[in-house]
Amino acid sequence: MHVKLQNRRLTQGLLISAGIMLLAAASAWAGGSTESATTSGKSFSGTIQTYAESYSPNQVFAPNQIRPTELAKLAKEYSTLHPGVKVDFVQNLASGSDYMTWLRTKSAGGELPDIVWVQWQKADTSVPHGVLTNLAPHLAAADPYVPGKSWGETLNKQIVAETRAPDGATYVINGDYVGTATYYNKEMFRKAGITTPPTTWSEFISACQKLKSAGFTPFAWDLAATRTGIDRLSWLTRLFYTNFFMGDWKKLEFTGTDNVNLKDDAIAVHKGMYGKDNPRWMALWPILKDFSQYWQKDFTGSDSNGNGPKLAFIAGKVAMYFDGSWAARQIQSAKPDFQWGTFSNPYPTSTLTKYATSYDSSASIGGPSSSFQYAIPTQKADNSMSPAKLTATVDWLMYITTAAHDEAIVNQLGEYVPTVDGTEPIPSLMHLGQLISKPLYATFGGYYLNESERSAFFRTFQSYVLGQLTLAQFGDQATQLMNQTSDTLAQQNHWDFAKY
Amino acid sequence: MWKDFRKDLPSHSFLIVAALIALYPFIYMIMTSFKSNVEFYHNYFGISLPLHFDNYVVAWQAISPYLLNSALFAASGVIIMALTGSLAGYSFARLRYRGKPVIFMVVISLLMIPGLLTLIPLFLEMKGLRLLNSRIGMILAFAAGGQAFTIFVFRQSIASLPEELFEAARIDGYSEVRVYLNIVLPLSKPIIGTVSIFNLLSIWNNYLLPLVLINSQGKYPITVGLMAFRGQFVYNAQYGPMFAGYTIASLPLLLLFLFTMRLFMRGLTAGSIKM
Amino acid sequence: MSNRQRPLTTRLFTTSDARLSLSRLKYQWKSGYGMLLPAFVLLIMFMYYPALSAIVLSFSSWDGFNSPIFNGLRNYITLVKDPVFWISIRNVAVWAAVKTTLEIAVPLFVAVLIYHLRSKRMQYIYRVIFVVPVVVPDIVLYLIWSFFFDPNIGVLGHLFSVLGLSGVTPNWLGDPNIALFALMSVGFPFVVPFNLLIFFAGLQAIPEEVMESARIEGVGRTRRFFQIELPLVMGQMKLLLILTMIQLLQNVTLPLVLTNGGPGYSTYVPGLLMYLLAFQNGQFGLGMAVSMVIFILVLSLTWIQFRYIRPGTEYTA
Repeated sequence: MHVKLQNRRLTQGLLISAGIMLLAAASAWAGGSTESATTSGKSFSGTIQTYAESYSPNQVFAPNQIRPTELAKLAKEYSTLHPGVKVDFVQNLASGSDYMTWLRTKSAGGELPDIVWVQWQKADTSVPHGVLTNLAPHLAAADPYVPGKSWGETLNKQIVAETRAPDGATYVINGDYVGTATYYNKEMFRKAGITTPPTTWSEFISACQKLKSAGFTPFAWDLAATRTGIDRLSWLTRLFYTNFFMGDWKKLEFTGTDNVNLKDDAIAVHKGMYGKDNPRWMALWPILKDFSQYWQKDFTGSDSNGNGPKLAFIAGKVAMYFDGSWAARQIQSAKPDFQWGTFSNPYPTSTLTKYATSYDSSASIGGPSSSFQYAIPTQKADNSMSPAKLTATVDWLMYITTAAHDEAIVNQLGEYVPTVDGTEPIPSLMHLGQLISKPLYATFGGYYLNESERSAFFRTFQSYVLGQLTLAQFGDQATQLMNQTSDTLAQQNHWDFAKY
Repeated sequence: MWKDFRKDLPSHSFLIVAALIALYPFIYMIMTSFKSNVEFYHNYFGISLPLHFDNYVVAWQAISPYLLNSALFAASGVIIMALTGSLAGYSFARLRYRGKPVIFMVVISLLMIPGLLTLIPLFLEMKGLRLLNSRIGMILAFAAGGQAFTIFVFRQSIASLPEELFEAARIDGYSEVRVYLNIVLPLSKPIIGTVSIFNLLSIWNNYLLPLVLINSQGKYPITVGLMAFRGQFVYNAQYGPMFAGYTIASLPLLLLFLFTMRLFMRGLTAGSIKM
Repeated sequence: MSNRQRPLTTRLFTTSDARLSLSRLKYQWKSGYGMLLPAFVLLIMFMYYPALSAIVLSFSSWDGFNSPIFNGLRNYITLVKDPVFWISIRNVAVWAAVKTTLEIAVPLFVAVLIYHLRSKRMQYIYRVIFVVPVVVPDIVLYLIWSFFFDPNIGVLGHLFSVLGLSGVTPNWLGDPNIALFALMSVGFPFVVPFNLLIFFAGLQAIPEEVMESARIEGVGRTRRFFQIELPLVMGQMKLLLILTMIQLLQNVTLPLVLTNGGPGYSTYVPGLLMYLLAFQNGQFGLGMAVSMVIFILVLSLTWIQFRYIRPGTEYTA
C-alpha cells in the first residue's frame, strides 16, 4: 500500500516536471523574440534595429581601429526629432565571419534586424526571394529632410540607376564608394631598378620580372579556397573582362538597365559570349596563369583567413598586392619598416593581347559596393516589420542619407568615399571621389552568378593554375558550370532567354 | 624510485618526447600570447621578453561575454543530462518492465545518428518552436545530443553495482525513487563526475550547433565567438592579443581539470566504460 | 549456450533480471517508464523528430526561407551524378581509415607503456600530462595548427628552413595532393586523452593473477601484449572504434576552418559538402540528402563492427 502510493506520486511528479519542461520550452520563444511594434494608428513607436556594417558603433574593436561614433550620434538626434522612436545597433559580425550564413539563418527565423547590409549585385540572388523589400516606391516619395526633392533625387542618380536589380526593383540604398589599388613597396622597386610605377598590364608584368631577378617575390595573391580567396578572383575577372568587352558594351546591357547586372551576365553566358567558344573570353586564363609565376610561394595554402597578402606585404615579404581603399589606413597603423605607396591597377592593352581594348578598367574593381549598402527586410524575414515600422525605418534611412550626414558617417571612418550628391571625400581619397559619378562599367564575365557556381568555378581555376587541368579542360568545365547555373537562375527567376 | 626510472628508461624517453610534442601547441600559444607584433615576426620559436600583458587586457574585453555563454550552456546542459541520464540509466539497469530491451536498443541506436544529420532539421524545428537564437533552445539541444551516451554509461555503471544493496532496500520497502536517491546517486558519484566532465567538454567544444542555432553575437559561446574574434584580430594584424584570447579560452577548462582530475580518473578506472 | 551465441539484448539483461521476483513486476513499470520520461521527452523532441524530418527534407528542395518543395529522388540523383560527392566520399574514407588507426593504436600503445611503469606515481603523472591538452578547445587547436601551416609566418615552414630544407618545404594546405594528409596530421602525436584513459582503465581491470602468471611463465612483452592485454581490452577497443569512427565520418569543423575544402576539392568531406550546400548555396534539401548518406554509412559501419568484433570476457587462467 505504502509503496504503491509512493509510486503514484513519483509518476505524477515526473509527469509534472516533464510538462513544465515542455511549457518552458514553448514559452521560451521570448528568448528568440523580436520587437513587436504597436499598431496604433499610423505612426510607429518602438526600436529600429540597424545592422550598420563598418559604420556600426557596436562591434568588437581591435586596438588600432577607429571607432565610428557618428551613427550613434545621429541615432540620438533622430530620437529627439521623433519621440517614441529609438534606434539600436545590432552588434556587427567580426570581419571574416560568414555574414551570408548569418543573414540566411536569421531570415529563416524571421529575426532579421530592420536594416541589413546586402551587396547590391546579389540582393536578388544570394538572398532568397521575398527577404528584402523593394524600396523603389519610397525613392519616389518626398524627402522630409531635403525639402522640395524626392528621396531618389537627393541620392546619387547615377548610382541609383546602376544598382537596380534585374527586375527593376531597388533593394539596396548605397551611400559609399570603394576603390582598389595596387600597393607597392617603394624600396624594393628602387632596388629592382623600376623608376615609375606601371600603368598597363604589360608594364606591370615586366616590373614583376625585374623584381624577380632582383630576388624579391613580386606579388602576393590569395588563391586558397577560403571565402576571401574565392571572392578575390572576381577582381581579376572584372579588371580584364571590362576591358576586353568594352567594344561591345552596349550589347552586354541586354536588359536595358544602366549597368551590366546579373541577368545580363546570365544571358551572355547563355549566348556563349562568356564561355570557351569565345576566344575573347578564353584569352584571360592563360594570362592569369602566367601571372601566377610571380606570386608568393604556396599561394593556394596561404593564411586561412584571406589576409595573407596584406600581412605578407606588411612583413616585407612581397613587393606588391591588390587591396581596397580601406587597407591604406590599416597598413599605416601596422607601421611597416619600408616606404610604400599605391598606383592604379594595371589594365590590359593591345601589347598584351589582341583582345584588349584601350579602356582603362582599373576602376572596375570597385564601385558603390562597400559598407554603406542598406536594405530593409520584409515582414516574413523580420517579423517585427509592420507597415508603420517600414515607414519609420525608411524615414530613418532618409535621415542618414542626407548629404551632411552621409559625409559625416563615411568620412569619420575614412576608408571609403561618400556618394550622396553634394558630399566631399576626405583629401587622401580625392581621386576616388572623382569616380563616383562616372558610369560604373564592370562585368564579372560570368564568374559569380551565384554562390555555388562561384565556389565551383574557383576550384576549377585552382586546378588549372596548379597544372592539374589543361586550358581546354578548364574551359570546358567552367563553361558547363556557367551554363548550368545560368539555366538554373532563369528557372528560379522566370527569365525568358529567348527574348534576347 | 630512481632505480625504477632507470629500468623504465626506454618507456620514459618515448613518453616524455610524446608528451612534449602533444603539449607543444599549447606552449606555443602561451608564448605567442605575450609577444608584440614586431617580436612575433622576428622570433618564432622562443619566448620574447618583455612579456606583454596588455595583450590579455585587450583579449579579455573582447571575449569575456563568450566565456560566460559557454559556461552557462555547459553547466546547464551537464546538470540536465546527469539528472535525466541517471534516471533513465537506473531504469534500464535495475527495473523491469515490458519492452525494456527494445527501448534500450532504440536509445543506443541514437548513438549512431550523426550529429550532422540533425543539425539542419534542428535548426528548422527550433525556428518552428520559436527557440531559434535562444539560450534555452541551445541548452536543450545540447542536453538531447549527449543523452544517448550518458544513458549508456549510467546503465553500464549502475548495472555493475552489487545486487544485494538493492535487494536489501526493496525488502525494507523503499520506493524506487528512494532507491535512486539514497543508493544509486551516492554510489554513482565517480561515474557522474566522469560523464559530466565528458559532457561538459563536448558542449564546450561544440562549434557547429551554436553556429547554426544562434545568430546574435552576444549569445555566442566561446567556440563561435573565437572565430569571429580571430577574424577581427587577424584582419587588423593583432597576433599577440589573438593568442592571448585563445589562452584565456583555455583557462576555464584548465581550472576545471585541476580541481576534478582525480574524480574524472576515478570514474574511468571503474573499467565499466566499454561495450 | 555460450555468451557469444546469445543475441546481444538478452546478453545484456540476463544476470540481474533473473533475480527479480515476479511480484515486483507490477510496481516497476510505473517507475520504470516514469524515470525514462524526462530523457525521452528531450530525445523525442530534439533527436528523433529532427532525424525524421531530415529524412523527409532530403526528398525536397528548400532554400531555407520559403516553403520546401517536394521533389522525390531528385536530390539523390543529383548527388550520385555529382563528381564532387564521390570525391568527398573517397576523402572521408581515407580520412576515417587513417585517423581511426592512429587514434586507436597510439593511445593504446601509450596506455600499455604507462601501465607497465614501475612507479605508480609516474603513472599518474603521465596520465595527467597527456590529459592536459584536453583543456584547449578543439577550435583553438585548429586555429593554432592553421598558424603552423602558414607558408609565410608558420612554424613548420620555419622549422624546415632552420633545418636547411627550405627548398623542399611542402605546401601544406595548398598542395592538392597533400592537403588532406596535412589536415590529418593536426593533433599529432594523436595521443587522444579520452582514448588513453579508457584503455588504461581497461588495462587496470585485468586481474592481478593473470599478469602474475604471465610474469612467472616468462611471457615476453610482445606475446603478453597480443595474447593477454589486447584481447582483454577488446571491449574498450570496440567502443572507442565505434565512437571514433562516428566522429571522424562527420568531421566538418576542421576542413571548414582550415581549407574550406580546398585546394580544389581535395579536402572536401561529406560533412563539409552538406554544410556548404545548405549554408553557402542555400540548397538545404540537397544538404539533407548528403547527411542521409552519411547516416547510412555510419549505421552500416557501426553495425558491422558491432557484429564482428567480440569482446573477450573469458580469461585463460
